[in-house]
Amino acid sequence: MRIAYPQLPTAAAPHLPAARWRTADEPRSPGASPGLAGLRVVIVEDEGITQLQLRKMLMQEGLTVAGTASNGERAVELVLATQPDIVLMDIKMPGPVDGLEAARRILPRFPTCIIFLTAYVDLAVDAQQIGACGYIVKPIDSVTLLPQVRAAYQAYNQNRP
Amino acid sequence: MSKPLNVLVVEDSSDDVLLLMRYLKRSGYEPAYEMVGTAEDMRAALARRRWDVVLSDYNMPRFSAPEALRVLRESGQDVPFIVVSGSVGEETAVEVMRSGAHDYVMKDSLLRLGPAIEREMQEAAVRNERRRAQDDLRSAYSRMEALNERLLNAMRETHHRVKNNLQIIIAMIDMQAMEHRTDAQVPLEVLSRLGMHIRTLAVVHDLLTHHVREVEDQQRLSAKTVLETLLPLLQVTVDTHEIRYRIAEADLLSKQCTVLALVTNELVSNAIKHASGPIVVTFSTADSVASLLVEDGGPGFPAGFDAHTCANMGLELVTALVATDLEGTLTFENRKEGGARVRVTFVVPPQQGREEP
Repeated sequence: MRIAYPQLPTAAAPHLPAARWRTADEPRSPGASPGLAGLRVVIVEDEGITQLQLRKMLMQEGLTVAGTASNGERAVELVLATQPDIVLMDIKMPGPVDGLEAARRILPRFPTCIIFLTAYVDLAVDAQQIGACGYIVKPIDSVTLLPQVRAAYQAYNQNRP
Repeated sequence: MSKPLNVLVVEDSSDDVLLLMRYLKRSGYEPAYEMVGTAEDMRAALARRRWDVVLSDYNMPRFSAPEALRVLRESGQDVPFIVVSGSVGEETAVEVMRSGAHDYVMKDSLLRLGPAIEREMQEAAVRNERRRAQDDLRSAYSRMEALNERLLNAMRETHHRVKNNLQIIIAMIDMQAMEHRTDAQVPLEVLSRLGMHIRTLAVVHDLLTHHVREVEDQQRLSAKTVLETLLPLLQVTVDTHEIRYRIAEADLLSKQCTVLALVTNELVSNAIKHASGPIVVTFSTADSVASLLVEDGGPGFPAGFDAHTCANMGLELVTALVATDLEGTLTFENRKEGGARVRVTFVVPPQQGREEP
């Protein structure tokens, strides 16, 4: 399986769409971003605030949050059980299984679009070797994250056999 | 004045030993000696004490100078080794020098012995000094490397904490932006709360930088230090309510400190918004379980109150922090005497070096 990796070369300073602030009278509505609405996502993140933020932005965008895990072992179980379209995965988490290892265990059993969200800029190569379809460096906010997730998911779909 | 000299003599003839000692005395030494004639005896003598010089005959019935040299080298000691022997021929002399003897003195020219010892002892002292200097250098270098490693680790730790804090801040702003996406204006209260959270993160960051304790590879900080720094800061921003507090001493993990501070901040801010009268914050621990109580004298929670569905961003935040980061419990109740009580409990690490109250 060939997986495109749109974020890799510019992981530390990803190319964003042309700057344009959303204004208050220009609400985002479900379906506003073709390609993401209706998809099912699993969130793997050990910071409560970031979990909450991701859940809010994904739901507002019309995605379904299939489940949330805060460590790698639980992430593997959850993804295999819920079979989501996209996994947003933190890398450094408590416990013996980090995000990279969780992805290594998931992908051979259930190929899916795993996008790493991490504070570290130096693990992108490992992420790519594992077969991740995106690598996004924190901090994250909805205005910049959603286009990156969209691009990663589209590339993943185009390169699917 | 004669100089004391500890001599290990590898020799089978007592007469020859006495002769050697006589020459040493004539050269101004006061020799104390031991005579060995086999490898085992020599090993034992080397192990027993430090020698200034080894004088060795070349050929003995059960031992030889080359074998004695090997024994000395195996002991790891750097002691001058001088072969004192009858004529053995030029080739043999060269051979024994090559295998590490420091000098070769013929028994018929023993007047050379004193000066040879003098010179070899000086050279051994120089070698020892150089070795010590190299050892010092090596250990200074490895201390420096260890220090460098510690500094790098501290830097990585700080970098990670700063990035985490930035993520917390941007998540809070992002959630408010989503919440108020249809509003023409964001309420001032939202901005002041964000400001207070940023100050809170800064306070905990300072404390973690300057007051953290390492216990078994874990970074720890006292809850008392955190809350007794944070709460007066909160009091400064409000003059309508008195914030009273009673904080027990307990070590928390660094992440717990940040989360406890944010949760306390949010709960006290909520009480300020909804209640009148003093707000009481109590932090205590029992059997490795910490509890934080925030109590007020306001109207309390309405019947059927549910933090998950109450559409209050602050309480949503507290719920997420307590459940995910503290892996603790959160309860909302009304006090019998009136007012609201929020209780947060979570497990703290084993408190070594601290008295459990």
